[in-house]
Amino acid sequence: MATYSVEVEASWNGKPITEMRSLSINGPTGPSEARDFFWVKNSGSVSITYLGSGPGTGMWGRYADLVIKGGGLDWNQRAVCGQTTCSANLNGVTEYTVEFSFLT
Amino acid sequence: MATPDPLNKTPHGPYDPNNSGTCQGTVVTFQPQKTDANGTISNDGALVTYTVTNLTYSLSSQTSSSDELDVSHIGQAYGEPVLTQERPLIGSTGGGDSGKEVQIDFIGTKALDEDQKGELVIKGGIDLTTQAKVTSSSITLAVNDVIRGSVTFSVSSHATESGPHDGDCVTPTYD
Repeated sequence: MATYSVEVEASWNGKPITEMRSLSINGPTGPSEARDFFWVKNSGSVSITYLGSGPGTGMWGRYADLVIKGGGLDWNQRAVCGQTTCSANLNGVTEYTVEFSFLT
Repeated sequence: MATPDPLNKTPHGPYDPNNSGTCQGTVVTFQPQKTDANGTISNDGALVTYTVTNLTYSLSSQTSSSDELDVSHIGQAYGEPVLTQERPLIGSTGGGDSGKEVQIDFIGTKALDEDQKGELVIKGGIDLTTQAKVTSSSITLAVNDVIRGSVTFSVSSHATESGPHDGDCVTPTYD
């Protein structure tokens, strides 16, 4: 039986990202290239669309622990805050999207 | 040999109780109306009775003031209700746009002006009496065909409606 996407929680830098509409995790790609220091290249990313609260644009380039639990997910990894997007919709609500890159 | 009248109509067939849901006696009328500065509503032209070939009654979510936004999220637990939130804008049809639309295809030349308001009455199949506003209207002339038209009404939130129900048809008309 498929896993329901319910009770999913995500937080970054200890602050929850609320009212998430969708969350997708893209794992690392390609060879590790013998990395021996923090690196984001090909290390995977997370994209979260939410209606509530989350990191603002001022967090760009900063890293902190990204914790994702629920809905069959259990991730705890350092991640760099990347692009943030806001989408205002006519006669609707504003959606926010934030992208994180994993640090490996 | 007499020349056939392209608008000569074939009588509607009788309602077949064994074919549930077919409502060939559906009658659609629209009474154009206007509202003066005192808010008094009066007729604005003759009653229009359509020879309808197709009718669609649908909900359009973009302009509705009565339907709500789905703001559910993946943090909710299994079994929780869907979360909704009112839309920020209200509709503009009479006492409020219901977000519902009636689109009809018809035979004839009864074009209506966009934004024309009035009373829309549908009897048979669905029963609907409502204030409505024309949102689009078109007439098509084609080779070897009768003149056909299409009109879309947005329906006021104060509509009274029922149906469709099996056997809910009015007596077939022969117009």
